[in-house]
Amino acid sequence: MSALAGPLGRLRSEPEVGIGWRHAHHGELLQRRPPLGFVEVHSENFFADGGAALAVLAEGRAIYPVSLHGVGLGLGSAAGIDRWHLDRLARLVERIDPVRVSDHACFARGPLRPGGAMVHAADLLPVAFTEASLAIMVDQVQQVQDRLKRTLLVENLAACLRWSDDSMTEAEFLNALARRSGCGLLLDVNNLVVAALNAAASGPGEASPEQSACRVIDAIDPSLVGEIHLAGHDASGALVIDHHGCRVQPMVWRVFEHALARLGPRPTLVEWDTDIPLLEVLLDEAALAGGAIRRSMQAAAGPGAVVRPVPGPATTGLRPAGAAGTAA
Amino acid sequence: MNEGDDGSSRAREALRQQLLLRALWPEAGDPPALAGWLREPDDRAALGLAACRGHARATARRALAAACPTVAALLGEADFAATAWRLWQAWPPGRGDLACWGQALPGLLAGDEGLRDRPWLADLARLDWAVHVNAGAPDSDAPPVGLERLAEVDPAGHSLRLRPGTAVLGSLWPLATLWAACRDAPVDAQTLTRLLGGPAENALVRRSGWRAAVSAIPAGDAAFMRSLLEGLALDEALDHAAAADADWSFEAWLVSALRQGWIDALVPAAPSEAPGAAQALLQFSGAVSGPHQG
Repeated sequence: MSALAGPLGRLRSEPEVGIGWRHAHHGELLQRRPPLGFVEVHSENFFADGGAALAVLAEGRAIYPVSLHGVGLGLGSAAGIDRWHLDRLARLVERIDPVRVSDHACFARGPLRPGGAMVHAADLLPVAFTEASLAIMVDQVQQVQDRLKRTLLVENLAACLRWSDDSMTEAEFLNALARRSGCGLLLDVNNLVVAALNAAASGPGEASPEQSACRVIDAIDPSLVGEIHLAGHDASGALVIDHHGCRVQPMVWRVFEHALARLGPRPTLVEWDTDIPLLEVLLDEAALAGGAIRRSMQAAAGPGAVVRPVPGPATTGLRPAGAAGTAA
Repeated sequence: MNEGDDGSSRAREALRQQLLLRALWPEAGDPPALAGWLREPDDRAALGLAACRGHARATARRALAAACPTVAALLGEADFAATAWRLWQAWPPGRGDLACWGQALPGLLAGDEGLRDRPWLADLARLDWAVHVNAGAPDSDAPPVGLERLAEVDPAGHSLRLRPGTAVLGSLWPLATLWAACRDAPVDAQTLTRLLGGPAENALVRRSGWRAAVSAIPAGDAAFMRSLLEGLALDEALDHAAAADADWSFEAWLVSALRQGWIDALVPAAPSEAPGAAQALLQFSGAVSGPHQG
């Protein structure tokens, strides 16, 4: 399989599996150096001028490719993006030479009243799926890409609020964003599932939440997707929350397998941001993702074909009940 | 879409975003949040907004605890979480890098009637913040630049630039001792009372390797270094040090400074210029324990 064409020049035919590298595992990962396709960090945690965190990241970069994932640009903010934030990101990109740079299809900043001081919500707030909102985000994604001199990947949200005057679907919005701005898409499968579960709770549709999530994937242009995210969510309350604090749920694994069949293998990240578990558990989730990718590659190649190993951790034998149990 | 349509459509996007932000920072008398704007039924919209507020509460507590761990330990989980939320509501973050948020905490604590019995908390918050800023300051372990010319230059025209992130904090309390005792382990009431009985201290925040370090320094050293941080010339800094402590010795200070790497460079004095941004954040004039005007 050849490298994919389009805006995702660094996408390879052998996808990597990575994990979110959080503070609790900084030392252990550097010491153990498990085989991983890449590690992902939140860009904003490394915006300082100097200090220990940057030194640790540089050490990690010497071992692994690093994916810089932002949570604060607020690409859809009608008030504009923060030049200071973009300058800091550009400096970090120059320092780390990441394998990918990404942020979210959201807004985050604006004044509380006309002419007021700018506030940043530190949250991924939903933009409307309208032409005006699209124009704002296209313009600002282009500003970021011009500054970074790189293709940006933009991630779909697990929004629990939707605007009543949306004039297009999320998939239509994301496809148009990528085609007009030249950016790629970061497909968060957990977010798709969470959004579908919450939408179903707001009013039953024709399709089940799982089918709805798969239909979004089917509507997205496969050539635009540069990375996939997997994570756990909390469905214990009336609202499903993408808390990134547990194992990936079975429905998310199934939708991930659908995504692999539809899109082909993609660099895949296992995120875990709250109640951080033992590194072993995180590596095991990554191994499950690797197994799913390997199976999809095998299926695409046909019976008897030899599929090269997916860069990522070997399975550890740790398994929660019901989690992708068929993984090799 | 023509230009006029484009402008009004963009204004509509700005308005809807402002309404959602306003729902997260509500004020008394605000109309019901986002009525008619959302696709969700009212009960589901309320759940969604509550989830956003819950996320903000958790983010505020986590971000502030990262910047001010000593205050977090002394206040306890519930009081600190409530304090973080009050700060978030009163002084919202202005940037997407939450490491920049929290500088207003000392002022909030100093003005809190409920904390009148703990007036030293505001100073500890100030010190926590200075340590937080220092930990992200530019790395610099090169030998001091130009120091070999120190004996030759006119002290009225030159100054010493301290390492990035250096701060000197005055307090009416045994600030450095208290901070060191409370940072890594909880202290009981008896120990706290004993610690608070100690003499007032000036705290020096400096970089030691990758970490910020805090130590108590004499009044003369504090006056001298505070003057340097303000960009004053050496002669004025020496005068301030002597005024604070008639027995103060520049030679003794220089030995400590060289041993512990406090000096970045010998530089021309430029009193009219504003000091560097990082240092400006950390200047605290005089021995004060009142609210910090951030």
